[in-house]
Amino acid sequence: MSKFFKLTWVFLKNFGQSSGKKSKSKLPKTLIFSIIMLACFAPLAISLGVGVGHLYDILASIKQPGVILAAGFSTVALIVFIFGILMVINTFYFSKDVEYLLPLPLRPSQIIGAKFAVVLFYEYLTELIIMLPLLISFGYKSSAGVIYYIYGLIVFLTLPIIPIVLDSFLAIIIMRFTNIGKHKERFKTIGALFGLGIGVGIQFLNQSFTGKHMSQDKIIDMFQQGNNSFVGVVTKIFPFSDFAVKAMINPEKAMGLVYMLLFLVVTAAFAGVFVVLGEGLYFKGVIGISEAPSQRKKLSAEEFDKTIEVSSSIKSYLIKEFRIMFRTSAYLINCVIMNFIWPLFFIPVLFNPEGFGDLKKYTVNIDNQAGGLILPIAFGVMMFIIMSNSGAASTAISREGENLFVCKYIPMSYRKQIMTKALSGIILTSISVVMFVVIAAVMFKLPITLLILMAILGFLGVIATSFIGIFIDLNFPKLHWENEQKAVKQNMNLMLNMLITAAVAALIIFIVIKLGLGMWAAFGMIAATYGVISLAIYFTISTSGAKIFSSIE
Amino acid sequence: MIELQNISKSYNGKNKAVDNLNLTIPEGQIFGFLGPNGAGKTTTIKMITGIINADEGDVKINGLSIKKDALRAKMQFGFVPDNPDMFLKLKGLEYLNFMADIYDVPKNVRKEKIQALADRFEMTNALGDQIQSYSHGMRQKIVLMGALVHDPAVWILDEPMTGLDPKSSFVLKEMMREHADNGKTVFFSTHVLEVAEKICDKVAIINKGNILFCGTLEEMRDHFKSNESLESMFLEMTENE
Repeated sequence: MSKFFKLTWVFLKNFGQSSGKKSKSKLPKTLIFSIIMLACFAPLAISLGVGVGHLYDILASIKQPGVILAAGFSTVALIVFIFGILMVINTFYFSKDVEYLLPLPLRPSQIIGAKFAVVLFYEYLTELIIMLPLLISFGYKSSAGVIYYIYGLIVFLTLPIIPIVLDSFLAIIIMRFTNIGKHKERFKTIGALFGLGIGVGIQFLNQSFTGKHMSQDKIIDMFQQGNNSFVGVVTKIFPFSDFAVKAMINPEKAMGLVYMLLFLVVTAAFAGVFVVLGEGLYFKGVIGISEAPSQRKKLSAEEFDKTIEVSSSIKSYLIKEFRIMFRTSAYLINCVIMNFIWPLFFIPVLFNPEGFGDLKKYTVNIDNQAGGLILPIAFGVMMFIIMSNSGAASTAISREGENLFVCKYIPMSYRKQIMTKALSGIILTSISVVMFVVIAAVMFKLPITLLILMAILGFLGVIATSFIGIFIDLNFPKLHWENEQKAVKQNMNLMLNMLITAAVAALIIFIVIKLGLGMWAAFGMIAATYGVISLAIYFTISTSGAKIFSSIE
Repeated sequence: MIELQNISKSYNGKNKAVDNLNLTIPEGQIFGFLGPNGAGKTTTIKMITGIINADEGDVKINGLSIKKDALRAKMQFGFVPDNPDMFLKLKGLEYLNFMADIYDVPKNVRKEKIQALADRFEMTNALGDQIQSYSHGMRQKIVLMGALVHDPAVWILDEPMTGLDPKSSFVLKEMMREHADNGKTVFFSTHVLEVAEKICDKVAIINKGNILFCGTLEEMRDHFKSNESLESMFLEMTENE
């Protein structure tokens, strides 16, 4: 056991330090970064807390306040589960430290257990934003006693365990059976995506199952019963959180204690199965994970000639960026693939014609005024997709990691390198814009003028988002990481970029809709705003960006 | 030729890693850069190659300042870093071609150069594989080939022999000799004193950011008025500090 704690301690220490060396000159930047993050998350947390308060009043009047906790716990469990899949796979299997750990006299369960603790710790950070305001607001409103807060702390610490264990089951099993043959990396990428698909699929099935078996009358019936009878329904999404909710709404009663203990026993049981499974299967999946395929055969004259084709330095650099992104599973999954697969989320909508039958009627004759409303809304949806997919640009510097020094000694100006990196992001995210416009054209049969205007705005949005992303990454590069996952997934720059981009987009869309502009005026206003933003950041990157790049050591 | 003019570098504003260093690495010679761990070798090399900025002073490579005329200065040299774990996801040939594009090497020249280097380092059969699948020594060789693909006048090599097998190490030493004999510059750092003793025309010894000695081995022996090995002279010099 002590080895497990030692290992966990070392992992966590590495985890914290990987965010960058601390030196005096860096301190103001770190401070600015923290302030920005706080400024971005604080309103979210506060509004969540206030919202919970209002909701409490409404639900308390029908004696169903427990639904808030049920919904909150289920949501947290679901978020942890979905975001955890890739993190678990990467931390357990793709992290570089695996190679150093395997030769040490450690049990498989000790290694995988310590890695589990790291994931758990990371999920606590995610949990903070939702759980803290939820628990405090609910406790305040229900004037709860000390026991409620003690239970709250226990639930906060234990709630993510079961979802992560479920992620781990998926990961351990997938990796056990894909750790075969050559081309392991490719195989694993497919495995990871498959795991993500299963995870999301199960949740959707679960939800639609719950939905179908509840008639409207029954729902109303249950609501009217009061006494928190609805809790069981909401927690169906993640059934294990049911016990925790029941404990929290009855903290002063013996029943509450029983439920709390039940919740802990179930959690411990899951953890136990995890340890057993890890002990049995972890090494079978992880040994040989770093093997790369190799042929060791001479290239034919044609192959050789084809590879040594001359290109401009920019094109060559761009190709290098793409090759690395496409061949590294963490980058592929986080920066590339989403651009291609997000339309899949529209499939259920496509197969549900009822919802769109009415909508299509309105899109046949779109006048200038309607266009003035559709355009900003479409732009908003596009910006949401764009910023979710902006990882290629907002982690471009971080992805270089310890090898950033190579960028410094090659004879290519820093400005050119930064712009080429931004370009790689612009190209990838543009794919999303193209797909969006195609979907809009096919599904809604929008007029061609509107589609073209949408495409132009989309590209402007892509350019601005990519520039903002790379500018953030230049200022706060995350260079000290030991697995690629950390460069992209645990990189706050992506989050920061999303928050800034979302704020700007929301503001401009709000103004355009509020002013009730026509299609062309709306287009002009959005295009001008994003054109100016893009140009301003372009010039900033060209001048001070290159200087910042040169000072990164 | 490489000229280091009064360069200094400190970390955290106080610990001087390199202190007011002056050094001239002439053409036509193999120049060895020696020093114990943490002496400032890699920091100096990083300042020469533009990876980090010197706090004070300047470096000139074939007369071009790395600060004021960075791109042209960078075209002058080929650099082999001490850790060859880079571009692991690229195939060997893709990496070499990337470097050739960056250094504007014409197609027929790069073809000949790559084939010649691959032959010499016995890497022909590995060029189609990802660098990730290479052993440490092979990675060292591919990085070396990438540094030499544009036929630079100045070679800057940080611990180039580490991980090379005896044959490749021999080939590299041979190539260093040829390059210097053609009137070009070879500057390399090493821990291995035997290597330095055998192939260097000139050495500089650095410790705690200061140059303790710079000259030929004969001059060093004269300095110590003995016929000692480089090892004992080195130990004596760095321990007396």
